[in-house]
Amino acid sequence: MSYPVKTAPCRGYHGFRHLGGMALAILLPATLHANAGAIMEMRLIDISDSPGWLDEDLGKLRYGENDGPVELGQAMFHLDTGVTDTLRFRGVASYDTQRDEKLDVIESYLHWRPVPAGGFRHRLNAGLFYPPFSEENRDKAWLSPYSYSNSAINAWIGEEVRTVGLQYSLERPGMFHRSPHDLTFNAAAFVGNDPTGTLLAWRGWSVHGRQSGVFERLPLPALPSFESGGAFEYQAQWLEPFREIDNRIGYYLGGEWDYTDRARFHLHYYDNRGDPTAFEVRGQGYYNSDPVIQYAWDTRFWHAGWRFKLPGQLDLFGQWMSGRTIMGAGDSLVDAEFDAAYLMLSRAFGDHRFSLRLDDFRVRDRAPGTPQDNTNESGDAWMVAWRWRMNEHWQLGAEWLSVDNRRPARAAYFGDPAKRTESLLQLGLEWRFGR
Amino acid sequence: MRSVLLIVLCLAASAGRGATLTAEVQQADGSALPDTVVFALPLNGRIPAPSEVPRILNQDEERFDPHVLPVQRGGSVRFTNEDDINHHVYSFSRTRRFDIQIPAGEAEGPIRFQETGTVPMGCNIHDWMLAYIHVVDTPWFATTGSTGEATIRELPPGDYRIKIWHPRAREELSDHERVINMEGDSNLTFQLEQGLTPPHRQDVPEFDY
Repeated sequence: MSYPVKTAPCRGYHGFRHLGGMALAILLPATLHANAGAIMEMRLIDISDSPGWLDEDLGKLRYGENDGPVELGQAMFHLDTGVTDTLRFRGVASYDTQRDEKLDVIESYLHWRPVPAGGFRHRLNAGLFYPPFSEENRDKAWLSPYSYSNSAINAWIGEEVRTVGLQYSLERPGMFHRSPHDLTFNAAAFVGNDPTGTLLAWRGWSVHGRQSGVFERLPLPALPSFESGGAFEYQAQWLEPFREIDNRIGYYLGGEWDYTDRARFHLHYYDNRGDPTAFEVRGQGYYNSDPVIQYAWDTRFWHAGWRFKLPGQLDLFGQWMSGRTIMGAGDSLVDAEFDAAYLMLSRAFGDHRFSLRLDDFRVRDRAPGTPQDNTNESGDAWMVAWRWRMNEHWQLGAEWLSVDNRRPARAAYFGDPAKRTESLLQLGLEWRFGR
Repeated sequence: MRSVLLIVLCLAASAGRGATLTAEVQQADGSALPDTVVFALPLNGRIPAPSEVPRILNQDEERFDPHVLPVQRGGSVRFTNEDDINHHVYSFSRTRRFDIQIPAGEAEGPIRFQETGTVPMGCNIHDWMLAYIHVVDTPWFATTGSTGEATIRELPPGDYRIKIWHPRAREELSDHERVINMEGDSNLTFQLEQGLTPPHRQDVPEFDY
């Protein structure tokens, strides 16, 4: 019996696209005093002969053997404009040749920062935005100033994790308390993000700098469990990671600690409170009238991040994530534990920046009884990058990335070796304007 | 003609009268302590009214300049913005509470300060920005520069209590007060006994957010 045990009402956010468009239309005239700009980056790539994950494969990289040599790396449009003295609208859109609808929304939210009335700051985000986890993606439009690929953790956040809701932050800045310690408490409640976790289980981790559009359908590997008679035969061959399926509100909670400009540590707990037996019918099959569905996944994780300024102007930072995702029930159950961490060492020499990153990741299949659904994997990656900020508008860079990984599903379902080394050399030329 | 004469007389009077106090402020380890307010409170005689010309607190490259600005009680401060982005300066201090928008390239204010005390200020757009206005009950004040030296000019003869103030001093700074008689030029050296409190987060973010 592969059809889900319990049904949940199908409620999407069909009005959301129009809402976003309306918000932009209303706010665009107010952009006279806005910070707005674009970042365009072209790449020359040389890739090992392995398929990319966007080719419905169990690959780890954004590009596959059929891609290149010239690719559009990033095309980002960003806007940050005042609505009132203390309310800002922030939006990011991206143009991506690797999706059906090339132009899509990345972030769109209101940011309220009332003037502090005492020694604390209150901040509120409302809309669609990234959770405050990444130590890499510190540039505009959630790009990394260090490298073209993100670590496994941030590649996944870019794919499947986006807050659709509210985030409240309470900050106790040391500067108003004669203290070198800054403390921040974050709490968020969100809808959507019910399929979040799908990629980690069925495809595993990946290492790349691509960000999913809010309305985008991401491809899944063509697993035998999706075929007729398989444990998840009605599962679509894609996922829409940010949809609301079970009408349950997810949350994350956590804190940040900064010691002057020298050290920083943050810890959060995230739970999308997905109902693992809920699903949504998203269409019909091409060849029959079978439904095409998307499941809700119950995904929760601990996340930590840290950053140190070492002697010699070296930046050492990293993130760690450990969690579990569950979908289905009985003999149609996916239960996977996932872990990943990375360490990055970076130093700027004038306008040149050199960075080195080591990644480690694994997924453990906790439901080995489900047929044709082995989600185990382990791997590590190393990356070395150079970025040169030639002037205000132009940047040049290069990155070497190599991902060693083992995924038994490749051997079991595709007849490929379970172990694979995927490597990618990228040269990037970036042009940006605005601010 | 009469007014010109008056101006000349005033200039002559202000140029000719008064002594100069040079104060050097050192940290506990003997190194120079910049951004210290040194001020002289007359023990007798009248305190002149504050200048009608506002003092200037500038914003440049997403920092306040100067970091510490003394102002006489009753005097005012004008906020200038040399950045090409807006700033939103605020203070929630008991001494003076305000918030003021300063558009890119413009100036706003003045804000008047009617009570003595310290006014820490932030920018509600750029969280790392911090400056202090220190309101004192005298027109005779100066701030130490990078060498730790401050010079107060044109002190009329008389007795003064010389005080210092620094935002990151750990110790009670009233212990360092001196009473001196200014008949001619004087030099004073202050040395703190304890180290400073650690600095707060102040780096302008390396990358734009």
